[in-house]
Amino acid sequence: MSILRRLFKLGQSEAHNVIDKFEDPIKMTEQGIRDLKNDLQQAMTSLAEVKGIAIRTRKEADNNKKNAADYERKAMLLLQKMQNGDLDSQEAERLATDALSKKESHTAEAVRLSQEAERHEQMAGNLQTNVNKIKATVTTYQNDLITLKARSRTAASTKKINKQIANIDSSGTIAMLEKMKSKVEEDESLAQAYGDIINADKSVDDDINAALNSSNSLSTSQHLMDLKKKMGIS
Amino acid sequence: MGFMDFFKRKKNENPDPLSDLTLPNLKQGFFVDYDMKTRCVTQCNYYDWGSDDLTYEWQLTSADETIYLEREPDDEDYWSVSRKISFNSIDNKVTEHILTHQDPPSQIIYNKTTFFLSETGGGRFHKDGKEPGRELVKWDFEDDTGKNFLSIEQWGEKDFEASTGYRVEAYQFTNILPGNMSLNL
Repeated sequence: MSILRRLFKLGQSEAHNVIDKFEDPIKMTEQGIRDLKNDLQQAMTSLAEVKGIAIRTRKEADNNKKNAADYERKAMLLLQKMQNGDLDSQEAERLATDALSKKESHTAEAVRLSQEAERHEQMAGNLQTNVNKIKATVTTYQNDLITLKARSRTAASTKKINKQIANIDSSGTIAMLEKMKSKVEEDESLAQAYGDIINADKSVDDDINAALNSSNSLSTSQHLMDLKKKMGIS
Repeated sequence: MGFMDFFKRKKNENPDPLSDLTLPNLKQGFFVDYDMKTRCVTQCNYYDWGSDDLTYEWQLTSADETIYLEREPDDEDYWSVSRKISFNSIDNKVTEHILTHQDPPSQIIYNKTTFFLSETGGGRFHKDGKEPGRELVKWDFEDDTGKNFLSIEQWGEKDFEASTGYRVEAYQFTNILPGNMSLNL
């Protein structure tokens, strides 16, 4: 591998490392969820439009049905009037035919609109299923993020506490105690050494005094022996 | 627009599709499914009974009917659905009783069910939340199960309206969608 290529690879890996440090996975996930919510929002708006069209079309279909029924009723009224002699038969039949023709056109329109409404309703149903799926997915992601954030916070706190405990063991109190122990031992050795030096430095006078003290103690013993003899104690 | 305004975040007017689309947050133009039908919110009204006692009402319109969803906040929210009925379909002695005694009788029979007077009050009705509202007097009657009710509203000396309804639960309303009134109905 050429040096330039290796240098490029090194630069690349360092750049990735720096970006990795800047990249907060929680913030990245939150942004991802925000994007998904925007998509969901748009899907919901589209679905709302389809549902609105479906309701409006169904309403128009119903109105056409009602109009058709109304024209049929009017045609019947015209024929009744003709039957009662209230209206000229030719005129009544012409008007009744017109009314029936209108009834037919409204019926046809009602059928067309009903079919259209059915298609819209079906489409709305399918879209609703998809929207519900996206909603469920985003909810799952959001809940996962909440759990992960809590776990991340717990891990950070635990890490901090454990680090503090670890620091106390290695360079804190124990180290200070060890240091103090060696200092005390050093002081004790020094005291012992000074004691030995004192014993080594005894003068001739000290020896004479010690010998004299021991002769004093002997005479004291003699006095005790004399007293015992006097009292008849062996 | 000032320089710093450029950096200010625009207020997000879109509801959060997961947390904001709830029944109490229904707004005009929203869609909601209830009883196998998709309904569009065509009115958001409220009744002010005084002393911060408010009742919220949504007019829900489907292709073939209009119903009213009501929320009565108390210790918990009470939800009900009602439909307007012809005032004349109630015993016609009721009007007479109100005009004579200023109150309806304590019992009313409607569709072979006896309803008992349970609550009465006067307040203001705010259509689409608009001020100053319109004065009304309302009498609520309940059947012996307490689940079904009949309401009489008086809007003027001889202007009466009646409706019947029943208690519902919020979970019965599903698939709430934000919508735009201009697109719908």
